[in-house]
Amino acid sequence: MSSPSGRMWYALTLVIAITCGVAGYWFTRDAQQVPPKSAEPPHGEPPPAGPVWFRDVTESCGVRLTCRNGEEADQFTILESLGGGVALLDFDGDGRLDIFLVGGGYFDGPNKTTLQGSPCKLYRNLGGMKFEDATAAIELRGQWWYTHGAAVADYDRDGFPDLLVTGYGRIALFHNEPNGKGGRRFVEVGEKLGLRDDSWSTSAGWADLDGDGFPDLYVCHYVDWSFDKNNPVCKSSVPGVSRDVCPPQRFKPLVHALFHNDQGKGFRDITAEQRFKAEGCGLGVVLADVNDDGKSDIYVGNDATNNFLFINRTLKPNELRLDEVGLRAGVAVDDTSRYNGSMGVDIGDYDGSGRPAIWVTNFQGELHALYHNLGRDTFDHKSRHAGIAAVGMSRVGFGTGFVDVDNDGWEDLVVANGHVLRHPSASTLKQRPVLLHNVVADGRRFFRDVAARGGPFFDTPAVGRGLAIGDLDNDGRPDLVINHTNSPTVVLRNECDSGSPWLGVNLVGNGNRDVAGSTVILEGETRRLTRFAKGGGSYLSSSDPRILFGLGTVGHVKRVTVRWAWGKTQTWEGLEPSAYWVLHEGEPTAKRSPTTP
Amino acid sequence: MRPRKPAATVRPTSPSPATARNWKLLTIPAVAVATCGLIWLAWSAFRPDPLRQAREELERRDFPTAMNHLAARLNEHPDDPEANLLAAQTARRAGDFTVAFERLKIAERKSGRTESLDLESRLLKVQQGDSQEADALFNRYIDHPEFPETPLVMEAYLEGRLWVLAPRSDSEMDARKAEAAGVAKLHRAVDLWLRLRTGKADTAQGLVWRGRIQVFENEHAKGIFSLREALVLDPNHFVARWHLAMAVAQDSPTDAARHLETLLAREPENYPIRFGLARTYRMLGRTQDSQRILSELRAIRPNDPSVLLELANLALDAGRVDDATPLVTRVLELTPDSPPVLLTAMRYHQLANHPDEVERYRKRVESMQAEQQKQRESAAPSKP
Repeated sequence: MSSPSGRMWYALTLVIAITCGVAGYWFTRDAQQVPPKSAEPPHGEPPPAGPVWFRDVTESCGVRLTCRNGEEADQFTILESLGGGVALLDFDGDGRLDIFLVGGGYFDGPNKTTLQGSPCKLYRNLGGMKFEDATAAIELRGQWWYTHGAAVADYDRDGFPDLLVTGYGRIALFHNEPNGKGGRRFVEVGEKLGLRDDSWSTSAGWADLDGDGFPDLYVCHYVDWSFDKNNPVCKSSVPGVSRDVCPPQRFKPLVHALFHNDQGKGFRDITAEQRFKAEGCGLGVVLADVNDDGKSDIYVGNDATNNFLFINRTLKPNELRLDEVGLRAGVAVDDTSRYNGSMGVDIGDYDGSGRPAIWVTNFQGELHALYHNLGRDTFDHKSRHAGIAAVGMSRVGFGTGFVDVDNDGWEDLVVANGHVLRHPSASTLKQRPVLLHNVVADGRRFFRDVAARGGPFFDTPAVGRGLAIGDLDNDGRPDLVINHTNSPTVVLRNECDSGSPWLGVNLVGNGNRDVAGSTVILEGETRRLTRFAKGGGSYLSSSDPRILFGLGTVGHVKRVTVRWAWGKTQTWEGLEPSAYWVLHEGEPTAKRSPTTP
Repeated sequence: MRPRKPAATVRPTSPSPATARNWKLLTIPAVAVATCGLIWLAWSAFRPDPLRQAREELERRDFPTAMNHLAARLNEHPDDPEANLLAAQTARRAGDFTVAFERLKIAERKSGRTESLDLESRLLKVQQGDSQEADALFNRYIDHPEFPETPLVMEAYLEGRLWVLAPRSDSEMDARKAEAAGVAKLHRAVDLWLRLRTGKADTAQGLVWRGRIQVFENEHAKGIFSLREALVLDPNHFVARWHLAMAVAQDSPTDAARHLETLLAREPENYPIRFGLARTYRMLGRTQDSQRILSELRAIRPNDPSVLLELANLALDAGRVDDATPLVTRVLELTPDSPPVLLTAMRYHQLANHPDEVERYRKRVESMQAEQQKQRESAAPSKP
């Protein structure tokens, strides 16, 4: 190798080798970048560990109702988008919550333009999470119309809850009275008592607004749709889909209605007196004392228009004065000054401040709104700060409510979702419900999506509408009933085994006067819990009127204080946990409620 | 007797010292020449030719690197018409229309108007949003996949039309306008592009366009799928990940934040990405993370109204009214008529318990709402 020719060959070989190496790299470097085999999986928070909190007991409990909207007639009316509600009421006074379900309706006749009602049903609670259809037995039958909502109150103060049903073109008030055979029956009395409403009514709520002891009635009205006068045809925004349900913006909002309850003997429409304006497509209403003055105020969720907050400025009984302050108070629009498509509403003390926050479920592309109560009739939009925005904006929220699912003393949130369009863009008709757990993060209250803990129901898309919260089996754990459009109503039993104690209270006003607007404060060793007696709430629905405190780490219950609406403040001590207590206004001793599972 | 010649004997040839020297003198230069020849051959085959290198980078859609190679070429040969044309094309494809225009002018000065330059000039207009030119070129090339210029035309068409139809990542098609036909053309252009340009980089880019079109026409699920496919081919595709982040933001802001974090890891100084991430963190309730990024951005641009507004809202979220005061004051000075600023001012005064000021801003917000309502009503669909 030391000869010149050897060196030459060596050099030549080296040049060729290097050249080949470089060329090899040059031509193969693209091939070295092999792409991954599958698309990136979507990221998600790991589900919190532990057994699920809710079990779907629909099959075994005997509740069988599917709320219809008549979409099979392909009329694509906005009427189809609203759905139906749920009311929980102990109609027979046996200490167990019964379930009233709204049936909806359909389109009939040769042109499929005649509205017909699907039957509503009432299920009697037999105990042990078993129900029977009692609709016929209680004579709650007859000619149903296209129905939407239900609201419960004892309008005549006879000690038994009565039932108001709303819908298109009519409302009906069913009086709960003895049937002469030792049982109960419902008799329609609205017409007789002057409670007439031929508008399109949705959610409704009861509360004694003027301090006369009898609950007055707020009825939300939606828009001026009708087959005869205003039935536009709307194109879908989805390519290849010719038609869909029209949005509310295609219609004019209707004036909502307020009925004064004349001592349980009649109703008077006082809408004009209160100078209500046709400025809101009403879908949700909750009545409660939001400013701690002992009087029920009214919050209304409107679709595609500003939400209303009527502060009750009544100074003397029977001289009702409502002041609409929604925009000024910061609860009419969202944090970008846009009005939302609002549906479900509720109030609750989510952060232990003692003041009721307002909670609103909204349309796709909008945040559900948590309005933090600052006092002074002002609120601050806290959806981002409280982590609620993390659930995204692709869902359309309807039935909802504050509910302390795990009895830790902090109110969580639940939302039933489902789109109003048949072919929504950037979303789906059926949508998963949402369960938000109220936790602490960075030293503040924060809502974390815990759908995985909710059980299979929370992982199943559906067209959710009305939702009611109540302890159906009196075990101190709040259960849920959700009414779906065109699919069966679902009953969820709360089986959260947190081990936390609880305490329930059943407020009874003096002479059975209405208690909505009252505030209940439970003082424990470590914390104070504040809850509110409400009228209305959620969407088209009416929840358990009792107030349930999850005691978590509250410790020994020192006292429970009730600030009665239009009344005094009263305190009880020595209430044992794991029981419901009846707190009678004016009576110094609380009675253990004779509840059975 | 004559002396006999000695018999001839065959002896091994052994060059004389002189001959050997001659051989050496011949062989060494020959080998040297051969080696140099080989080296020259190798060099000429693989020497760093900036034009060729630029074309290779363009195959990978690496426009900045291609421009670097072209700059090297133009340093040595500033009048090279081919290099100038390629530089104009590269700058246009990268979205740098000013440089594209300059290079095009230089190329025209040096070589007069040619067919190639004329096409490049038209493509520049198309990519800048000239609808007429876009349609003319689309119609001429869409049925001619065999033309070598067709992919370039489709690319410019897609970029230009998407810039007009969907300038923002959340733009949506208005079914009432005559946009459906335009969207159908966009799909045809993408399909042709994907058929003609099968390289990995170009396929990924085609999928990004397809995803953007699908999101624009409200086919979000399909759009997200296309964008994810693009990222499978090219996980570093910045634009694909950006559009994916925007597309998933509504359904899952948590996912959007993760995509933005990935982008930020690649470009830690990217101001828009940092701002977008800060806003997403605020959306998720991650106020400390949001505050940290926004404070950094404020140090860079102390008078950016968007940053000041977000910082003000963060302070208000946390009830820190005093901290919000200078921020609200400053942002009002900078943008006194911006609706979000007015709303934040109203929120600030509400939290600060200034009812008169709340009322003042409320009225302004209400008048804004009335204006918005008017616009909505004028845009409402007419009865069929």
